[in-house]
Amino acid sequence: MITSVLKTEEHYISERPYYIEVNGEVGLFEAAYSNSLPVLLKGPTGSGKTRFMEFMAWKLGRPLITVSCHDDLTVADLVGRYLIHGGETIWVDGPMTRAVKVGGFCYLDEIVEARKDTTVVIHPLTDYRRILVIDKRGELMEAPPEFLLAISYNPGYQSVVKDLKQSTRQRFLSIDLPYPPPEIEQEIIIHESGIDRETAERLVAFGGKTRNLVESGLPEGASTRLLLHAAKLVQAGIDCQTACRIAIAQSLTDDREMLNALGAIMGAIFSC
Amino acid sequence: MLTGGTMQDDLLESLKGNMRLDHFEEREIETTLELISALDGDSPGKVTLLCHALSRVSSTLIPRTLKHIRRASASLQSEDLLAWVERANEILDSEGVLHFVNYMTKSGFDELEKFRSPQFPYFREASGMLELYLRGISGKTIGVAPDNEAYTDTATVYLPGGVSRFRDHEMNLLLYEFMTAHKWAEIRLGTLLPENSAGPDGLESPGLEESLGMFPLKELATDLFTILEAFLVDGYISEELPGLMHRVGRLKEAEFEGRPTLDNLSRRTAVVEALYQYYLGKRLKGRCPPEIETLLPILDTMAGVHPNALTNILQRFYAAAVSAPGPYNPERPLFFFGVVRPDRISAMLKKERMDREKEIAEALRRLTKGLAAQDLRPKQRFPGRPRDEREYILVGEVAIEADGAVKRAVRRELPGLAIVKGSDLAGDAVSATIGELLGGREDREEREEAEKYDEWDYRRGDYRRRWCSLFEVESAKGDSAFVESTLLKYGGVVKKLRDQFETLRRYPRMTRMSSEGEMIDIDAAIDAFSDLRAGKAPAEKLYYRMERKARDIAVLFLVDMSDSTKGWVNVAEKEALVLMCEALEKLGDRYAIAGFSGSTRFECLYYRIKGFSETYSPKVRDRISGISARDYTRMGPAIRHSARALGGVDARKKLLVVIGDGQPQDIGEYGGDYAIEDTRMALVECKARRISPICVTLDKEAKAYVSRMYGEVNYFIIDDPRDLPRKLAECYRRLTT
Repeated sequence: MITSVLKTEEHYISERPYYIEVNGEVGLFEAAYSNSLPVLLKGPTGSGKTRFMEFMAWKLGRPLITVSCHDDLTVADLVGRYLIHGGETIWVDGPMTRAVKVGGFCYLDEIVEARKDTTVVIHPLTDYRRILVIDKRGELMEAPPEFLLAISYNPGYQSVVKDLKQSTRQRFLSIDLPYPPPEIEQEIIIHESGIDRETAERLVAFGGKTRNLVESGLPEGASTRLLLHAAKLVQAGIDCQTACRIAIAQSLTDDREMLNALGAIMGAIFSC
Repeated sequence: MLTGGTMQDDLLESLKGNMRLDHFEEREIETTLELISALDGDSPGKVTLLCHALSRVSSTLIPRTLKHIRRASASLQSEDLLAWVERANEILDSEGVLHFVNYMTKSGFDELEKFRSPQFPYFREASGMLELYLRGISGKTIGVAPDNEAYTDTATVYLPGGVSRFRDHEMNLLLYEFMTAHKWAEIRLGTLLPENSAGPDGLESPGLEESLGMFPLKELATDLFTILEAFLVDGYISEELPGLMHRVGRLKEAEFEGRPTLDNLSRRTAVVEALYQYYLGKRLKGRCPPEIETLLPILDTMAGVHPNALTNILQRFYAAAVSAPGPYNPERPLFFFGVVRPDRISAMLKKERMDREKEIAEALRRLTKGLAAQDLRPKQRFPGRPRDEREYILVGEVAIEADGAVKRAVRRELPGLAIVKGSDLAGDAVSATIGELLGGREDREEREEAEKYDEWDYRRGDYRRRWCSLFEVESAKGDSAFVESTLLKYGGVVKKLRDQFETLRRYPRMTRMSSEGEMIDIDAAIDAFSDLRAGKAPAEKLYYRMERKARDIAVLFLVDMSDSTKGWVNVAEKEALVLMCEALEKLGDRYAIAGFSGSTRFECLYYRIKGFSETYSPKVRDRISGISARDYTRMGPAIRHSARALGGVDARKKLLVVIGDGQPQDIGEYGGDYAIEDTRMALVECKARRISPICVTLDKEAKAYVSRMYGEVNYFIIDDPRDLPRKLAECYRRLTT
């Protein structure tokens, strides 16, 4: 079986991604785009930031290039490097350069994970200059009006050694994307998994209860993504409580007491 | 209970006789018998036997033995307790007194583990999970505590020390969960705090206890209320937690099987029993008492009833019950889901009222003293803002801004004083504040050595310059044995922390693109070669280096030493600091510890416990031991002073960890929004100096204000002070990795 391979910059999203607007974020993003402002998406893990980016890329008709940041990410990984190919030295553009060239959306996911000396490469792109500096080629590339840089960030991540510098974050327009309200979260789960409404309601109720425990030692409550995983398992024939245990509880914590409490809450919500 | 029978009577008489021979007074003998009689199940008989055997050796052994038995009864269900007592008898018979005494002394919870039947869960083991369960289902911080029965006073959920209603562990644990959920639902619905509740004569009376007390047969009324309320509460739980109600079905069925037949009971008792059976199984064992035949359908509609209507429905059932002949003698324990304790609810409400009245009295006293003792020298004419909706107390021509406590105090105790709006005072009054009246005595001498700090006044949108006087003093020394005893108490935890923090100390990582190292960084080498071929200058950093990256963090722990930390909280704070020091000594981060308290803006005290350049010496340990609860909590100056201390340290990351148990509060106006806003501003100033402030609070109600001061994520709430020692180090580890 041969799967299709596209170059990233050719990846225009042709089908509308499923997304329900929660709090006017679509209009805010469009306003940012029309004013060539970079965007910072703030929200807990699994709250729909990447899906939102896909939706906006589809809506505005631009290709979306996503980079998952980590602490080994270098400037060359973003901008490009020389490679030797068939005895010749060729320059290969990195994802950021490709996005700038085609006027696409460049989305840096979990920006705090990247090294500070890497993230500074985005600074000239995010102020009035809108240029990408390619040091190795001695070039400055001006970003077209269609280009947009977006980054994502989880503000609930409590660490003083991994934080977004003010000099970086103050370049962006921030859009808050918390977990959707229960009625919307239910619709998302029903649509994405095909589960019945009652089970979706119960899953969302359970997710809400886990979020109540964040200050009691649970690092984060269940994300919409985890609830979706559980829904898909239920749809595949796994019973609700087992699905919640392996898709949600065990993913959230290893603490025995917390797992017991989550198990009791599961048992309180699900009759199946 | 001692039920008596001829042999038992003989035994008791013999026991009494022996105790008299050993010079026990009649009063002491009676007390002994009462203690024995108070034990559950079949234990009294066995314990009498044991005491009799002891009395033949020496009756002086009896009081201590009973003390151990009472201690053990807190850790063992009645069947298990019986087995333990029986074993004690055997040891006394076969091995003698010394071995018996040794056996009895091992009556603590952990020591009795082997006697506990596995099917009976205990509160001590389950409480952690149940508290989380309660937090999860309610979204609120409601405490869980042990008692003899399951009930709530609307602030705390009390649960029995152990559950042995069923033979199966899982069912008993489920019962714990159901009791917890049931009590939460009572709090949520407000069924125990009826508004406009009415007694049988229809007159209004406040409170459930008063309402039920108006029924001549209070016990009957209370039991009827409990069942009717259970129908209502179950309806709510079915909506919110359907899985739980589904599972509880089998508990109800098992409970129903054990209920007596109605025909064997007095009619009045049968009325109550019938309602309970209907609750359990929607059916009855025996004939329905005619007095409630027409009322039973009401029970099917209880789920939709408003809680305020409960007492009226109770009246109808009560009237039916008292019209039934015979006494009310419930045969078996009722209500596997718990009981209603109107007395505890009243006590809790009374305490809240008393606390409030104390606050009012304090505010009044301050106000009165201020008026009586002060030669008021107001600072400025009233600004005269026409739209000023704030309220002021007018005293002569002085307008004193009235906070909530002052307003309540005046309305209740000094109704002669006028409370007016600022918009009515333009140009006609001069302004002063409560703080100026009470603490701002102009003739007070200010000590030269004070550090002056500004204070933020959010109402004016500006600072009060050099408003607070802070004195840095060395903390008093405490009991030097405290640190050792803490390390002993937390032995396992200390070792684990040391290991964890040792690993964090210089966590190894492979650093790419180094100019030297143990391995070639292939990616960097390829890039360099490619650059070279392209005619560009290649990079020189082509190696991987195994680096143990040193941390560059400085942290200051600022400990609340206000009066509210007295007792458990103070001990927990000190223990937490001891463990934290042990961990930090392994980690190598630079750290300092200070405490704060004080009284008014003139005396903000800052206790130096450990400086950044100090080693963790015996002196420092003594100072940690000497941390004690003192006065008030004026946080702003303490935070600003700490920020200054951290500013003098050269570190890449600086952390200020504030450990406390409540809101900022001081004499005078430093409370409520004023104090929160000043504290918030002090924390903003920290951030401007690149210091990350974090709050670790023991106040379960902290969320309302702590997020306002520290931000949405920069705080940790610890539910139980006893968890602070273990959790503080964990919080620190999470923050700094």
